[in-house]
Amino acid sequence: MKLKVTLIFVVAFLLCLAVSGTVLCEPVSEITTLTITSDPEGADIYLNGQKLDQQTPLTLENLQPGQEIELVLRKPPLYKKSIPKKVTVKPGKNNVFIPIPETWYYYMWLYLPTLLKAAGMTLFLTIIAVFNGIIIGTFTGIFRVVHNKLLNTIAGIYVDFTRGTPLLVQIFMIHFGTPPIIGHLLGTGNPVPINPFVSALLALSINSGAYVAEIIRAGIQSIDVGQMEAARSLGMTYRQAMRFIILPQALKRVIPPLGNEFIAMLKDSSLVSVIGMEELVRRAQVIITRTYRPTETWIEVGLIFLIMTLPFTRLVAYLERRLKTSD
Amino acid sequence: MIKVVNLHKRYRHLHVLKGISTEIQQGEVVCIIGPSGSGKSTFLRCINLLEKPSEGHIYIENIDVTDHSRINVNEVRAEVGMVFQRFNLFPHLTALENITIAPVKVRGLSTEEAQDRAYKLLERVGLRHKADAYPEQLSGGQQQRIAIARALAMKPKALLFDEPTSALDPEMIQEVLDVMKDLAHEGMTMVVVTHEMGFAREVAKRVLFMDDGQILEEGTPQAIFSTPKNERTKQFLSKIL
Ligand SMILES: Nc1ncnc2c1ncn2[C@@H]1O[C@H](COP(=O)(O)OP(=O)(O)OP(=O)(O)O)[C@@H](O)[C@H]1O
Ligand SMILES: [Mg+2]
Repeated sequence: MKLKVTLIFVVAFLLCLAVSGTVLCEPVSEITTLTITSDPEGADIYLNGQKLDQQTPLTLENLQPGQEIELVLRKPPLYKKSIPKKVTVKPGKNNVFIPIPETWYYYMWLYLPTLLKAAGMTLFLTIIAVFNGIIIGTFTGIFRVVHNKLLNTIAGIYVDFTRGTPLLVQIFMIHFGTPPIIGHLLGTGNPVPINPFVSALLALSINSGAYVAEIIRAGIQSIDVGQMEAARSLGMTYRQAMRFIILPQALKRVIPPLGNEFIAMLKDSSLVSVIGMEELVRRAQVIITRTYRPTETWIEVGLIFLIMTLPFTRLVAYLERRLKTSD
Repeated sequence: MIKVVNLHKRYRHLHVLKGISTEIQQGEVVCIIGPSGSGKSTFLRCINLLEKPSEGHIYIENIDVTDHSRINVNEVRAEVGMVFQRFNLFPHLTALENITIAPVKVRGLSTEEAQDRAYKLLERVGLRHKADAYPEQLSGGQQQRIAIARALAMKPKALLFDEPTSALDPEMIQEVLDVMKDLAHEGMTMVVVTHEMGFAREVAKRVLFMDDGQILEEGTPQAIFSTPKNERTKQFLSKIL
């Protein structure tokens, strides 16, 4: 009798369990969902070629079990479209993860803003250096042609030394060579380190000055000697003849070569990367140590240099043509 | 007016002028002829000190201009104008500016004064309408006339001409010679290196024949051209006439 009662309870319990199972569990297993995740997230989703309004990660709910769909993800401009993924929707929860491959220019694009900023520094360095160079070079160039042995010699030594040694060596001399001297002069004996920016600017300005000096000298000497004679025969002093007759004519002729000097300096300024000056090349090196993408990065750096120099190259060519017709 | 005494000029080992002595009077027109390389240009350039004489003396209005301790070379040059074979106008300046620049910068004239003077001179060389032209826009003859006006603007005591017409096309020679003749008739003291025998005959009071750094013969145009005495003069004249 007792066993019977127990049996009934067990059966009733099981029945109850079965009933509750069908009632509680059955509706849950009937909703079919598809959750799409991707790396990286935030990609556009193309379902059977139709673009959805939402982006990954996304859970789709209005799907039928057994439905076949094709998924393509896109995330322009840095990523290629993903390989089409065929999914057969099973009843219940479906999960699909789709990796999106990077385009070949992914790293180029990613670091473009950083590199452009660094290019700005390169441009800035160059502009200041050539500006200083023009000031130094104008004086030095004139010192080379005036009738004064002392000035000739001083200017000559400066120009020969600067043009006869590599810019890289000049950068090292200033950045690493002068700190001990400054320390010595200050009496402490401890080297006084120089800020890379200051070293870079100093080295590039001094270097540019020598080349500009040669441009100015050549410009002055390209003026027909008859001009000086005519000016002197009118009673002008050497200074007056220089100032009113020779230099105004020389100025016109030195503009194209000065443009070339600017282009050359824009490129050569990359050498200051060796002392840690954060310009375009240095920045690229730093990026590459992080990304291991030397090919793309150096191509990009090259292109940035090209884009910076090209307008000037064209301008110089134009000025040269114009000068030729006016001569 | 200009007195040259035993003038020598050497370039290192080259002895270009070998003792030139002559005197040029106020208002006199002297032509110098001679073969190429005989030192004609060098002689002219010594007179206004574009070249430094190696030896000898040059007196301009009795002042020894070779005495550098006492004279200012620039002042001497301002007093003796020079006209060059190749004009040497200043290409970056207009005709007017070419003429005014020295009076303004050297003589200290105001721009208005200098321009007044320049317009009168332009009138005189027949180029008033070219005042604003740049040298490259002018013919050779016009350029040379501007160059003469430029020299005159300094009101020089004497004018030196170094083959002023030999870089010109034949049809332009006359316009320049006409200007020079006018100057001669107005009493300008002129020393002219030229092979224009017609000009020399017409306006020169004296012709100097130079060869090998020396004055070999001098005399009236008539005497030099018609009855030269020196063998070298005869040879030279037979070649160019
Ligand atoms: N600056 C100089 N340095 C060295 N030699 C010179 C210089 N100027 C002229 N000479 C030489 O002096 C000599 C005379 O030259 P100059 O120009 O006076 O001759 P010229 O009579 O004017 O000849 P041309 O008829 O060709 O003009 C030439 O042999 C010339 O080479
Ligand atoms: Mg000559």
